[in-house]
Amino acid sequence: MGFFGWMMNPAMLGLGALAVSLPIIIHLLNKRRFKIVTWAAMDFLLDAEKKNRRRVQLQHLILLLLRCLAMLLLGLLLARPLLPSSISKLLAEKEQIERVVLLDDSLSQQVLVDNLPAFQAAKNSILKLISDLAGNEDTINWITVYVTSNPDQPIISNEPITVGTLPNLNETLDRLECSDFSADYPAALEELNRYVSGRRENVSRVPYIFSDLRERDWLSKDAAQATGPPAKILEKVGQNITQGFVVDCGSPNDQNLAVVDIQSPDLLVANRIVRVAAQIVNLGTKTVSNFRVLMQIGEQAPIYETVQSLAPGQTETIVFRYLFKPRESEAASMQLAAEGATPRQDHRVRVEIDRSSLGESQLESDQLPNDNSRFLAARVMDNIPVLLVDGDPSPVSERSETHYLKFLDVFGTGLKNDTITVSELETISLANYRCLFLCNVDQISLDRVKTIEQWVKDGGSLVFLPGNQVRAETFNENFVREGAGLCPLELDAISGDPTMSSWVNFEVSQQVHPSLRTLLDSDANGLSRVNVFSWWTTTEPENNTDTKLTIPLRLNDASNSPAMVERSWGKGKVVLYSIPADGDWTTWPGITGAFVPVMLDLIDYLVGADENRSEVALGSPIEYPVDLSVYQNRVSLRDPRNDKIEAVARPIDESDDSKKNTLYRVQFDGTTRAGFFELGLTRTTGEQEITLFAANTPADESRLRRLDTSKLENDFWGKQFKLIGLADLNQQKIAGASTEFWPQIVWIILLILAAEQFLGYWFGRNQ
Amino acid sequence: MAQPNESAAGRYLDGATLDKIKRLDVRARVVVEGFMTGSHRSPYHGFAVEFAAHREYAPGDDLRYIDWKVWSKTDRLYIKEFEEETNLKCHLLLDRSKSMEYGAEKKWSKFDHAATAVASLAYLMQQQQDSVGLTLFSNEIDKNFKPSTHPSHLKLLFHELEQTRCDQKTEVADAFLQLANQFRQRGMVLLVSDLLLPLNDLDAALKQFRLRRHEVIVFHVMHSDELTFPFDENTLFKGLEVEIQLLTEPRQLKKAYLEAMEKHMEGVRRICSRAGIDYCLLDTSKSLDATLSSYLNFRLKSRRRLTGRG
Repeated sequence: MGFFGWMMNPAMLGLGALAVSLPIIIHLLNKRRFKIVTWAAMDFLLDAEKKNRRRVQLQHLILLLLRCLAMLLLGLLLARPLLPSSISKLLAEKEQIERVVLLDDSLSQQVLVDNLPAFQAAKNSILKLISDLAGNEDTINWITVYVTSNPDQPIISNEPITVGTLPNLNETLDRLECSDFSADYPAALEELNRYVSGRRENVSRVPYIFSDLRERDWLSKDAAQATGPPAKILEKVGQNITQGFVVDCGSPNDQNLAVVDIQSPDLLVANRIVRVAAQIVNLGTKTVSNFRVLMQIGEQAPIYETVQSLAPGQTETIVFRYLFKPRESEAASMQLAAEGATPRQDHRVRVEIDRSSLGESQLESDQLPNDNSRFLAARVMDNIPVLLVDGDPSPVSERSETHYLKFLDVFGTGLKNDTITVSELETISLANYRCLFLCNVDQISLDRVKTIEQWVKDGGSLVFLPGNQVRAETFNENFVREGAGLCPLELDAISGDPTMSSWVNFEVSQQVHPSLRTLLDSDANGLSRVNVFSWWTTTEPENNTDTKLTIPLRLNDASNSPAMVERSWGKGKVVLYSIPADGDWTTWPGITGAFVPVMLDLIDYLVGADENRSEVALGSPIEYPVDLSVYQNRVSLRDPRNDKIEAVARPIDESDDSKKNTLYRVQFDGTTRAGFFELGLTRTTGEQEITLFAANTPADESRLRRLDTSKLENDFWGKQFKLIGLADLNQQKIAGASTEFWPQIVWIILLILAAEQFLGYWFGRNQ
Repeated sequence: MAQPNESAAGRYLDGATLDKIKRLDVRARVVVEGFMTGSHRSPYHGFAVEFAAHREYAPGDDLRYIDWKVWSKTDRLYIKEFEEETNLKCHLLLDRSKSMEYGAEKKWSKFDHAATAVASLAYLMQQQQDSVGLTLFSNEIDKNFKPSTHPSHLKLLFHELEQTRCDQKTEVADAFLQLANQFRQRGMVLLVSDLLLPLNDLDAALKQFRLRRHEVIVFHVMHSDELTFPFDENTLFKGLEVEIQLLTEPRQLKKAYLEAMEKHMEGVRRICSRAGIDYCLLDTSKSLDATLSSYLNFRLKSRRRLTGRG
């Protein structure tokens, strides 16, 4: 603010001063231009002139002064002068100054600057600003506060800053907390623009944009696509205001370590070792070495893994292995199973970078502690219940059809097998099971076939393993029904060499089936060593156009018969092998040792992950189905801060009036915090059941890279905006209070011009 | 207004103008003595041919006028009276000062206008058998032609009018005293001038003529510019008679100028009416014949009013 600081274009005033000479020059030129008349009645003329000379001169002078003044004011108008508040207060109308604060409350604002989170520092300086501004009742200072995480709703909406309102304002601001969201600058600035462009009489708005100047926020290419880059929007904002500030509340150090991903690649089952993979990234410029990453399950003691060295920009995946213990109370599990729900227990899995292991020297490589942990809601099944139906039972286990399958149920697999006979199948409740193996079975009652079909449609999985007990005709009648049945292909006849003197081998199709992947990864020839002496031939459709039907395994006999066929059926899957599960026809289960891993993987594949994902994107609602036949319709949700809210489940399809439909849905609006959410369902019997969800901070927020302000173009923020630091904030307040008064100047100019015209006419008329 | 022609008579006497005037008689308000028979009535009854009235003889009357026929019938002596037509001596005084030149740039100066009027009057009077004299003056008497009825005299006058150029300042005090002394016989003095001179001088000069019982008519020649002051733009006024320049905005002065001019003209009119002098304004923008006709009409009317006869 120099001498000319009170104007926006001081050069224009100079121009106006030059323009003052225009009327004078015109006046002088006018004097030079005259007609010559030789005149007879000179005496009278001289007489008249003598009488009028002084008056005419005075009139000329008045008109000339008015014209000069008009020119000078025109220059002043173009110079866009600013009136300091001390003077504008004296003007007839009191001018309000509304400070519109846009506060970046994104996660990255938690960065520690001198051991204080940047957000807190920004808040403190706003508090200081308003406490300095606080005046009496008719103050001219007003304040509006927005945050970037929720630009639609101001935190403080145009409140006067007085001694009376100050405690309230302080409290509101004090309560403000940093969100876990990333800042949507284009949206927030558009909102700011909308706000300041809504002009109010006698209010001048001074925006303060508190930002930590992250490069991704201001220079991101993605954000720019819809609305243009944030700086361009800021320029637009600048057209409606006289002055604004971008307040830098970040710190120049932008090193950071972060956990950016957490997931389990395995099916989560108790009694089985599962993996939890976490990605650690170094977003700084220095290599960080020898630090620990911990995984904590619930409140148990954490498990540590050490990262030897992590170069700048590098991502390291850390895998934790863990065995979830099954639930202690068997009874609860049994009850759940009886109701058709998968018995499972939800665990809170948290992976965190151990800041204490970084040591003093490396602490600065992790500026943002809040993104050091990520959360996984692990929904661990108690076990995988599998039902084996033995079509050829034998008191001697080795000779029974299901002998090899039965022994999958050992500690470490998480399976729970039940073996029954065909007649028992007629009465058992399938709801308890996830997988059904029909081993050497060709005939069951039609009612039961229908039941199985419905069970598969609802998500069960069925595996056919036909053997020598199977009659093709009966099997096809029951399970194929000319394509309408469960089995994907019709059985033809038994082929091969019953004497076992010749054999064929498996041939794996190009697309490796998930059940075969682990085996083939560890031993590429694991399957080709299997000898198949006999097999069922099947009628393969001429042109296989059914995308639901795949043949991942064939035999290398003359006709290349299918060995394994898979088809999806509703939510479930059906798999047909052309060989039985015992060792009668093949060497597969007995000798090669390839059978167990394939079957375990097949079961994992068939069961699949829970369709209700346990991860929620931050800000999106949590939805969950509620079966009113089992649960009450009041559902509670406990958020990461232990605050509990309740909601009532609603019918999924509101238009569906049928009272029979008891499947409702509950919805909780936006998740605002990273961490675990506990959805509490209450059974009609009164027991509580918890479903766990996890929400994580946006990975993008971890990139702390700052704008290089020294390399920015001069007008990056637009002409009206000035980049200042937090410390300079309070020194700017007087400049912020200046107001433009060009409309008044326009009026004065119009008045002067009107007066000039009128006087000119009046003087002329009165000669 | 008629435009001047090439010949001397043509230049100042356009046909239309004189045709209108001819139909009116130029009659003097005051009948003056004359020895030639004219159309002017004479208060002196003498040996004219037109019978006027009878009156009783009084001792001293000329015996020649006794009506013997009446005496023989009534035995009384009656004198037979006749109306006598007299000659009128007209003196035309034309101002040739520099100020009369105004309007030359517009092809029709005050002097042109005045000279035309003078020529018209001279011709008219010649037709009436009146003798016409011409005096051109500025600050002194420049030319003086004695009144004469001779036709060639008129030509001489016309020639002189043609030749005259404007010069000098109007200065009448001495000149008019001198003139008044020259005009022995009572007659008619017609002063044609723009009268841009002090009112005192004018008053004194006119009184010289009235003292010698001349009938005086003042033709005040004014250019229309001088009467209306129609200037708008910045103008440098240069004095015609005085070496003064004035650069001014005419609009600013118009009101004051017109006031001053009106005051002057009012003064002239007052002097004239007080001295029993006829005053007629010759505006250059008005047609000359209209002005002369209206004046002559006025003269006729005022004579009838005075004599009570038609």
